[in-house]
Amino acid sequence: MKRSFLHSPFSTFVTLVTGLIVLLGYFIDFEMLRELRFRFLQWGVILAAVALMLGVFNLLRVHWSRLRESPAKAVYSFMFFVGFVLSLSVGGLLGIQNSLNRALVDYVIVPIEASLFVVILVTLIYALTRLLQNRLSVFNFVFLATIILSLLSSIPLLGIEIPFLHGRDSLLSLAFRVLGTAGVRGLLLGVALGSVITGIRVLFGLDRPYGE
Amino acid sequence: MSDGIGLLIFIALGILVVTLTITQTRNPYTLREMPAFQRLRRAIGLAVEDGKRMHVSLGRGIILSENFGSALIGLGALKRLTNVALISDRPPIATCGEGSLMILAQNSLRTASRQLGLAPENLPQKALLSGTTPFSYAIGSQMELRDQRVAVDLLIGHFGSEAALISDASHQQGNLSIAGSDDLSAQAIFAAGATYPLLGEEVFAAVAYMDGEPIQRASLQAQDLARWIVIGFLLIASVVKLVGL
Repeated sequence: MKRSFLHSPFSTFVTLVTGLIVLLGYFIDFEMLRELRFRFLQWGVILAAVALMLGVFNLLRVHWSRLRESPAKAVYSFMFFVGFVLSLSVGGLLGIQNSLNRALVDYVIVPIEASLFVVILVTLIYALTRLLQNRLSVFNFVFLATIILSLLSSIPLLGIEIPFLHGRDSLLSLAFRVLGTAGVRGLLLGVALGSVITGIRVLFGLDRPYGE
Repeated sequence: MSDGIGLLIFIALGILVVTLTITQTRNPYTLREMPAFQRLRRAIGLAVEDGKRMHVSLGRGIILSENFGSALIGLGALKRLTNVALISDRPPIATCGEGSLMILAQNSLRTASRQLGLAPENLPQKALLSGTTPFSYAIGSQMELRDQRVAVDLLIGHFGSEAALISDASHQQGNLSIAGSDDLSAQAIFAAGATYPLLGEEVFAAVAYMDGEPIQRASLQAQDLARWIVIGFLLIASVVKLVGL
């Protein structure tokens, strides 16, 4: 099959050169490097915006094919098109700062997203009960105990403050501050190392997860 | 930390990864057992036999931000899954919440298809932007994994609290879900909701467990070595501070 010239090694070379310039521009204070880094990042932002537009076309295509192929689920896709046309026309014709546009955000989008937060809460409680039923290991027991203790310590129990549980200087608060911070730092260090090494692999063309 | 030290750490890690990649052929790094990936291998076979799909949710990491690393791992996992599962009638699908991620995911699917010699008209078009905001992305992904007869959900990328909705939909469908993220709140959600949560740096080991390429093993070895160095440094620094030097 014919390969495009945009495939490796050309694209690997472009990745390597731009990546190295952006990286060195971050670490080394040199005028030309800084300028190039800034320019490349600007191009990146423009490309990301174009990618978002392509993504929206993809979303429209998916819902259009749903509308034609699946009458049972067409109502969701129909509502998507209604919402899309409405927000595009209101935002596009009247401007983003228009009161009607703000009303759409304040009275439609924000309440829907807020209700989804409540759904997440219910979902998490359900997930915890599943954890209790199906997968009770030492790790999960500590996880559950931490959740229960942090919930108990976050508010006074029927208006009564228990010395070890409540207050900033309580034993529990101290344990959470020390153990919790240590745990979070440990996890973040692992994530940071993983991110840097993944970056090195991609930057030097040793791994191309999105191409040949 | 000064900029010079940062650059030195980057160069040292780069040299370590390249050196370890070269030594992998003679002395391959042994990976510890991870039940998630043992189960995944079995589940892929079963899904292909049953004519079901695998779904990779790539999150909504932005290409210019520091949280894109986990999305790159998700893309790598998608490519490996496609290589294995493309022989079935139903190739894997990918959902994401960011435009650039969608393009890269489509490229991953196409690359794997081309390598198998599929004609351009048969290339899968199954990388979707399911929503542009966190919740619309989660709801869109829920719809996809309900409609497409999915058996395995791999959630690897940058997620927030919306991950709970995808994870719950996966459970309701009775799917196997393996989930990891660079975000701590998403990790906590996956610890409760996913069949196999990947915590901390485990998410960055996913591709190494899916194929035995020397570069992937070398990366993992470098990651482990670097972690021990950081632990050693932290211990020494704590002792020095404790003693009062």
